Amino acid sequence: MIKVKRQKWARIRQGDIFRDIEFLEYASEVSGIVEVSKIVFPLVIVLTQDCDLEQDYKFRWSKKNVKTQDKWIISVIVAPLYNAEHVYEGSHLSELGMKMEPINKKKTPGKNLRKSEVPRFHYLEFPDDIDIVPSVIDFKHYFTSNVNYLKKRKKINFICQVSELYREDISHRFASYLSRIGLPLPQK
Amino acid sequence: MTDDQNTASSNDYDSGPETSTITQEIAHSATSQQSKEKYKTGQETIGKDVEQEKMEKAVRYEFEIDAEKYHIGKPKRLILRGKIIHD
Repeated sequence: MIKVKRQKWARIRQGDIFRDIEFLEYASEVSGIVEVSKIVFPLVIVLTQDCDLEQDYKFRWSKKNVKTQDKWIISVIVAPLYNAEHVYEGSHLSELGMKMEPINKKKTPGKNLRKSEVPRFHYLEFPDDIDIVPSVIDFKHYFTSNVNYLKKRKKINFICQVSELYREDISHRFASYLSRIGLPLPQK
Repeated sequence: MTDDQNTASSNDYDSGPETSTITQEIAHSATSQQSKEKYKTGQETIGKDVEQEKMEKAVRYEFEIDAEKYHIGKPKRLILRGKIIHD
């Protein structure tokens, strides 16, 4: 089980968990008809480095006279949290028409998932007073979200922040996953 | 830097520049709508950029959300389709 902080700071922080965050897939216009497609993720965790978020907040909102916007960031990296039970079934993206690989909960694959030994996933169990079921971060499904959008969402969509030690673990594993090197399969 | 140094008053939440795009504003407006309904975006949802001010005089957007109720616990896709109306 991880430790979390419930205190709501004004700025976005690494490890923040938000509910109901939208990802804009596309916006198109054809012959006067505008179409906007978005995915609403029930839970996401902020993965952008906290120092970058801190600098962005300081220089964007402090109202100090600064000559450049050098420290502003363009977007915030987040990754979805999926209900672990749905992940075992491979059904967590069924509403998007996607079938995922099932993971046998009772056998080695399930145990490895819960021990976060699968590079792609990070398993989280929350304290009893946090209303989140055991969940899995899928690093492959990371996306970015607008800074202003997330900041506004913090007022009502913030749930908690993963404590430093645990968020560092998540950050380190995410970086490791992104920097992996795909080697070609040996020729038969 | 410590947490204390980053603490901001609640007034800081909305004190910054508004840079959201039209699309984002529309999307945000749609968030709270969980059932199928029509709504319009008026001038107040469009930014203050000069080009956008020109647009808001000439164009309105009408959207209808293709939304069922959110499926609790799983990501859900929402598609909004709207017609541009020239006044």
